[in-house]
Amino acid sequence: MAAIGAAAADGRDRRPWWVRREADIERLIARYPKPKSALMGLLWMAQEERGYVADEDVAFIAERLGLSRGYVESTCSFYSLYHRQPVGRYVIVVCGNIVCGLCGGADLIRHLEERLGVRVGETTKDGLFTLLVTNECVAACDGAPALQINEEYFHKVNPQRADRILQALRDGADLAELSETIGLTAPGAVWEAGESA
Amino acid sequence: MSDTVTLTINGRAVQAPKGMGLVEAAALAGIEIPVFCHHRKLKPVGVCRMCLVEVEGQRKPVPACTTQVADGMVVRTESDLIRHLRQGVLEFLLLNHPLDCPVCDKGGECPLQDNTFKYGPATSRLSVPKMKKRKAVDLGNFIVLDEERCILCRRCTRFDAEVACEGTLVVGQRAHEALITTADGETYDSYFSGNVIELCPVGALTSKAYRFKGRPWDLSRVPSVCTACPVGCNIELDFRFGELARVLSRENPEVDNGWLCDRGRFNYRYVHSADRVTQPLLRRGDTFVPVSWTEALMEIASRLRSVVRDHGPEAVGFIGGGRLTNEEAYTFQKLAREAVGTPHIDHRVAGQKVTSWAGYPGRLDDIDGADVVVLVDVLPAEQMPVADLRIRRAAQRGAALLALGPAAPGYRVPHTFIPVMPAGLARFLEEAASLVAEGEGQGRTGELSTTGAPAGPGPAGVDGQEALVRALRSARRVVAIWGGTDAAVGRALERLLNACRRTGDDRRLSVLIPGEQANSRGAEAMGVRPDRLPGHRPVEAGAAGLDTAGMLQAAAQGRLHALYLVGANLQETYPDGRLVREALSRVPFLVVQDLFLTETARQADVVLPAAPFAAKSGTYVNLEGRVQEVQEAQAAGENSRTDGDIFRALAEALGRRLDRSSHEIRWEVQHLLEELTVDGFVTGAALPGEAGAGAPAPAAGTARGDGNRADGRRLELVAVSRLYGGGGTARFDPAFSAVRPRAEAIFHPDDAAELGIAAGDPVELSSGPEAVTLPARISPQVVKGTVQVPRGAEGPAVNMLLTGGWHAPVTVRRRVLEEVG
Repeated sequence: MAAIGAAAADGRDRRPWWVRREADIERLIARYPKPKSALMGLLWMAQEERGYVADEDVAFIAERLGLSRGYVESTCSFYSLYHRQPVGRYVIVVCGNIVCGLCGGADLIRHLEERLGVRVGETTKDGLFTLLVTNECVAACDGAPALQINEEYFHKVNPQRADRILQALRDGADLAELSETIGLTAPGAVWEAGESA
Repeated sequence: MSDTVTLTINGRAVQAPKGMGLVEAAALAGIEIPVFCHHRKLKPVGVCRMCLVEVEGQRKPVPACTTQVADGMVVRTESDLIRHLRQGVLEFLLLNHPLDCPVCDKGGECPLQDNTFKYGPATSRLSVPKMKKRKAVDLGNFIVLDEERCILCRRCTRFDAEVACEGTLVVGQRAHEALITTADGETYDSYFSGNVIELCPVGALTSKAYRFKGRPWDLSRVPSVCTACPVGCNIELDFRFGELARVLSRENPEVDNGWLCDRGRFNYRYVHSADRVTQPLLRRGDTFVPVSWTEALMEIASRLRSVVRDHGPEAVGFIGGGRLTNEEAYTFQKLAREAVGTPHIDHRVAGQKVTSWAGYPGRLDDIDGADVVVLVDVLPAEQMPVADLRIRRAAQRGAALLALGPAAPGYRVPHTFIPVMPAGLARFLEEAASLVAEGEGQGRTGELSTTGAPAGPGPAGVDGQEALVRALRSARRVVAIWGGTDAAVGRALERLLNACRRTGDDRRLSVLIPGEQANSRGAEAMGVRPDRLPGHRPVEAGAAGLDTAGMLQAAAQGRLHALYLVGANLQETYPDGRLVREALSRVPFLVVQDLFLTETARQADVVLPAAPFAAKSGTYVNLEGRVQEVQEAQAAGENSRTDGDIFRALAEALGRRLDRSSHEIRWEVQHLLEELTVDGFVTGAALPGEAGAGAPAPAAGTARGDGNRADGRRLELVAVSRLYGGGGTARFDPAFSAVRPRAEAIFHPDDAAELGIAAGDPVELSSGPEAVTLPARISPQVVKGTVQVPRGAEGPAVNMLLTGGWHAPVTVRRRVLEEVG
């Protein structure tokens, strides 16, 4: 790693992120009374840089914060939004908790598997989508069944809406905009029935 | 009293100390609150919910483990609601638990079984299949995890984080996928891993060695004391069909606090090893022939008699004894001094000079209250592991932990490592002593320039010294732990402690020295020393015998005509392999008394099969001077005999009875120990060089000619203790031999770069005509300028490069491939 120069021929800085972003790291650690508290932030930084948290990120963070690698791994694996493997451009996290389950979550998962041609935990061949299911509630029970794509929420996702979302993203739609326009809108009858009750 | 509160539990008034948890307070009143995650030695976490109780004034039931007692608190542990909740908790815990109790090691001693029996529902409402998880996950050296049985109480991970202070074992994932695991690529190879088996309240964590070997109710249990190191942890030996099936902790808060190390817990199968010597062996040319005890003893007696007749009794030497009971050690020196008449007897087999120290007696529990712990050329995790848990805890609660020496201790707790080369250690300590004295306005004045900036105590320089001096100046309770390998370091340490004492009034200063064998201190107190008789009494001036080094030199020079080794594989343990080789090949008559045919025993004229520790009755003295008694737990077996019986029989063959009745020796030892006891502990000996310390030991071997090669580089070889290293007990134990360290040479990255060495490269270490080739490893933990090798490792004997101490300059050379091929 040391052999890699500061800037490669294409002008990109190829040093490890923790070297390039040392100032950010220091600022983050300085925010807390104990360095340990910066763990979540550093994991997020690693993922921001690489798309997932790699073994060497775990080792670096452990060393930097004076924690054991096991401790870092334990925290990282607890949260379903940290990824330990490379993921696609869009990470679809379907809520697997009880409310979403009762409102058709299981059907939604099956539908997405079929449409994407992958099993839960896998990434499509084109590298566009990764399908995940979280065991924990994504805190969107009012919009069950819900899913999250990267940092955006999508509520009351029935198979038809799922297809529309996938198609829009394949067509290059902006994720945040998509969530604004169709993600949080009520799909119709169910929502209104709930409202009137 | 203000530090006691009164509360009511189930209508009974209970007095409990402030801050106590409800589980313990209820236990004081004889009321049981069932628990899983709670353990009195771990911090409460309240994750299993089994201990829910009602507290008046609280809206909901509260977990008793995380709730502290308060004055006037009214608690109910047996209401209908609580009974209902316990049933609910148990139904949930059993939801995915496989209930494979009929084939579970824990069955019969399982809190999950017992609590379900007492508090649980008899049935489950689960109508779908249980979750499937992995049944036999290999966690590390000794532990197998059954993920289905685990109820995620976290006792194991908390032990690893809070007691072992390592943090390797963690809970991974979340919710129903949560599991006990380690970081990717790591294994749970802590020296203390076995404790999690006993902590586990279900059968999730099991011992590889004991798995499926027995049912708890079939085991015969015998209390004993561990003989793997000088801490002397209290153990229970569990036998099945007369075979040792497992070793458990038998809690003694003053010694082991209920913990064991993995060497003590898992290295027991050697007792039943097929490699045990089971019959006395007599050399006939190049082979051994098995003979009867009578024949073997008559042979030894007649050979010893002719040596004494031709060369005098001083031509006989006796080495060993640190593994014997006190009674056996006492008999051993009687055999040497009375039956043979030689003063040459020494228990030290691994180059240690000092085993105990009367000046600053230390206790294990001194570590608990210490505000400074100083490690001087010692690696507690390797030499006194369970005591190291106290050191780690002290460092974690804020005590200053400083380590001085040529090898870093590798703690995860806060500590300061001050690299000091062995040769500079005494001077480093002496200078620190001067600085401590000056800082207090006593002792020497001025001359700071000559003492403050040492020219060459090693790479430590002044910073390390300042750290040490600063810590000691403000310290009230200091514990120094010292390896005892260099008497000059001991005298310097004494100066340092004297300087601390002079300045303080109520300071408590103590020293602990881990002996090189389990009962080194007992052997010393029993007079297995050339310069001291039983009871630390110095021999008459000029009458001191030769120590181990002296005997080996005398044998190598042809002045010693018979050598008798007891539990001493000198070829492996003594830090001068060449001297041992010369001595053993030159000495005309060699007797080895051991469990196994070690490389040393193979050179013997007579081999006597000794019985293992479990077959012995007697007492041991641990590193703090505590006397602990053991009873015979199994028969000596086959044709072996206990060491004590062998000494008595041999003395009789020599025409001398060592005791008039079987109780006499025990009685004499008891009196000796009582005489030596101060405040309940056996006192140590005087430091060599002090008045009353007896004759100084003859000098060890001198440095060899410098065989410097043109293409090599000089580094200081540092041979470090390894918990799993050495000993026939490790080598001939099928379950344990796999973890014995492999011989390797470990370099600092800078030295490796300079030498052009990569990991795995063969490197040649040489000293004079001796050379050893080892695979290289690179670690930033190693001090620059040193090359570290493990002691007692599997592979080439590195002690061939040493000359009496555990460090020596060597020439290092990378070997090219053709040479190795």
